[in-house]
Amino acid sequence: MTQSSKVEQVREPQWAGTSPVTLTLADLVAGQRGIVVGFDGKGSELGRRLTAFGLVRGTEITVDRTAPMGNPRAYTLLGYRLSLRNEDARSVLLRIE
Amino acid sequence: MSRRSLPITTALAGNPNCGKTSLFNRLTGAFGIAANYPRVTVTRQVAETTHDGRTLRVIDLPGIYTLNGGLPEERVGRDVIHFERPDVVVNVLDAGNLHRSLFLTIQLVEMGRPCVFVLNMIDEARGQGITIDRVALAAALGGPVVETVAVSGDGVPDVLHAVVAVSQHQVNHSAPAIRYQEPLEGAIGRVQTLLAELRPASMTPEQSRWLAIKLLEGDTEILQREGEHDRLIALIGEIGERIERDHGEDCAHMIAHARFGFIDTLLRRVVQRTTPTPSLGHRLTHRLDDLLLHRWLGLPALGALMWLMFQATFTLGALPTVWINAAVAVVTGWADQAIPPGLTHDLIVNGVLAGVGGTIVFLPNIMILFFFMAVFSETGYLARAAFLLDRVMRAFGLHGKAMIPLIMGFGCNATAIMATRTIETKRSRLIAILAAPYVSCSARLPVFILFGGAFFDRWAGSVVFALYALSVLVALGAAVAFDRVLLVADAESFLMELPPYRRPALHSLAYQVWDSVQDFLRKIGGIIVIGSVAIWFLQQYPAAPETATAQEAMAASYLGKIADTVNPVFAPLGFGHNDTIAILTGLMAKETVVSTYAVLHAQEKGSEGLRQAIARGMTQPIALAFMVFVLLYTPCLTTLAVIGRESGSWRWAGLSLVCSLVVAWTLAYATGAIAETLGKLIL
Repeated sequence: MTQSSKVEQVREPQWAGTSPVTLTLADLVAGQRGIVVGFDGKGSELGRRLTAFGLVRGTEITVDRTAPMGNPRAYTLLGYRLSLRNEDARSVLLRIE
Repeated sequence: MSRRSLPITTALAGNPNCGKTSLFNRLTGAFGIAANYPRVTVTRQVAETTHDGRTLRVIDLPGIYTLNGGLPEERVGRDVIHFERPDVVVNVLDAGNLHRSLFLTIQLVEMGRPCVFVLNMIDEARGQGITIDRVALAAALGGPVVETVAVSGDGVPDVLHAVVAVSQHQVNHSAPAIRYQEPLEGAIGRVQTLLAELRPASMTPEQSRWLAIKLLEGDTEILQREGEHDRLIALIGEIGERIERDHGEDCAHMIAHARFGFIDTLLRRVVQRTTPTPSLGHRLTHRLDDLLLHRWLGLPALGALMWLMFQATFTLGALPTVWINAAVAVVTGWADQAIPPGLTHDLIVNGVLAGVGGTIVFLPNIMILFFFMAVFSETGYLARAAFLLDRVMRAFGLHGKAMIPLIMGFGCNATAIMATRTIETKRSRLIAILAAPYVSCSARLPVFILFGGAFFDRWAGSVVFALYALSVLVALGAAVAFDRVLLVADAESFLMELPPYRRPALHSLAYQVWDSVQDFLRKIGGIIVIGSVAIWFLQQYPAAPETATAQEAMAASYLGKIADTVNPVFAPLGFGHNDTIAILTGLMAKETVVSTYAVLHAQEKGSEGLRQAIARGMTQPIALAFMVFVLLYTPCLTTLAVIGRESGSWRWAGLSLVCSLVVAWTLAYATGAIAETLGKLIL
């Protein structure tokens, strides 16, 4: 599962092509604004769950705060706050504004 | 005419935290438990109400973000709407959080049932400077839009009115199909064609469109139900692969993206924001979280709040206990006088009243504990506790969300186990289910207070606190043990909304406390009375000769014989006959441990007498061992039954029973031995 998704990440999705640097949500730093450009690990249950929380292509997201020990973190998107483990945030691909 | 007499089946659907349960309570006059914590309605609730001469049968569905079927609650929601086809679906939305809320709305609209859209917490939205064009929204969604503040009841009659109107087709219901761009529409069309071929004339066009979308979204469960149609599965696979190859994105994301695109366009038309600054509520939430979710202060603050809860439970709870004791004494004294001596007298005074009186004194403690838990969950703090502790809990193989069930376990293990349904992966959930029974529930509290008071005097509070700490340690230890033993590791995630802090609604707090009171009283009226009478009977019969001493009579009774048989198991721990009997009856429910002692010592009047009688029965180390044993062995039959149901197998309930007995016996033995040795060293 993880193996195959690694392979997919190498072949960058077409629609992310406009951005020179693609980071993951886990790399987003407080104060930065990220725009979701895609997902690593297509067809996964996690990917589908994330869409229901508004994490789709084009959504703007910022870091709200970090839990003790640096994990999980809370993010602000669509006017509400969502907490995510860094492991899960890694599968969300971003472009930094 | 017959249509009019049928109840209107109405399903309430909405995101967690949207105030759906409050609305359900307001609509039906029933009282469910609302909480500012995601997914509190773990099972569906049904209640009836009337409006305008019509009966409404209202189903409160669990709070969900999507109908994609990944979680059990989502399956419940999807299946109720798809198979039971309610007359009206009431979609509750958080008016201040429309963007995300509408994702579920679109899925509901696609299911084709007539809908009423409720913009709840409209006051909060207005506070944020949001105005919503209801007419335009209603036109776009194809159903009436109603504004409410469910907590205060504002707008609730309008909801009932809209439901009745929609059910009678007074309101034109036309579900607008959301158009997806190519290649999705083409794909939906192809799946629909195949569906029509495989199952001719069994579905309306809306139903088959919905099913096609679900299948393309990768709802694996619904695809499995179509398992007999290899061609369908092959087609879905083929379409999925081609879309991914051509567009670098899977169908599910493409569909979700299209839906959010539709939502964006819609919101731009119907929502106006006057003030761009965050509202007072948001600013307060932010300030509070700066402290309560602080990277260094967050965990100590959590510890302090927990300590406050237990401290209040014991110290505040001690006051009314005196009054209850006095009242019990009055009633017992009156019964003693009023009922002529004989069998009935003994049965009532020494059986029922002793058992009930011995247990009911703990009502105040239980009320206070439940009050605090209600406040934590309603304000939104429990979600924060999960956020703070996720990383720590993972070290024990537990999920951050297991924090909530485990804290709830201090109230009742059975509800705690039901609350584990919020945990996404089966494995983490099973670990939480098996660890939960070790958390000291409120039913153990009476035993601790009684024994703590009898043996440890002014140290009682500390001893009880130590027992709670031990219960948490054992629960965590059990989690680690099960984590190591159970199956292979499983990918899991932690997706949780952090809702804004909300002031808890008084009536809801009152209800939750009242619910715990009712539950406790029901237990006293049921199992405690039955248990007490049973113990009294087994103790009285076979009748001993008049000349026998109390001890001889006891030894000859049925109870004495049962205790004789089982006692050898507990003898190494230093437990006597009475203790063995109390442990046996405690298997039904832990409260019966206290009522059993009360019946066994019915001659000693009042809780002071009971305390002294117990204090004569054992030494301090044995008392400690006994408390540890009661803490850790199987909480009650209900919990076992719930473990069996929630884990899906009785094997897990059996495992839990055996483990708890072994753990309880071993740790009780160790506690007794250590206390004994320490005692000798000190004295």
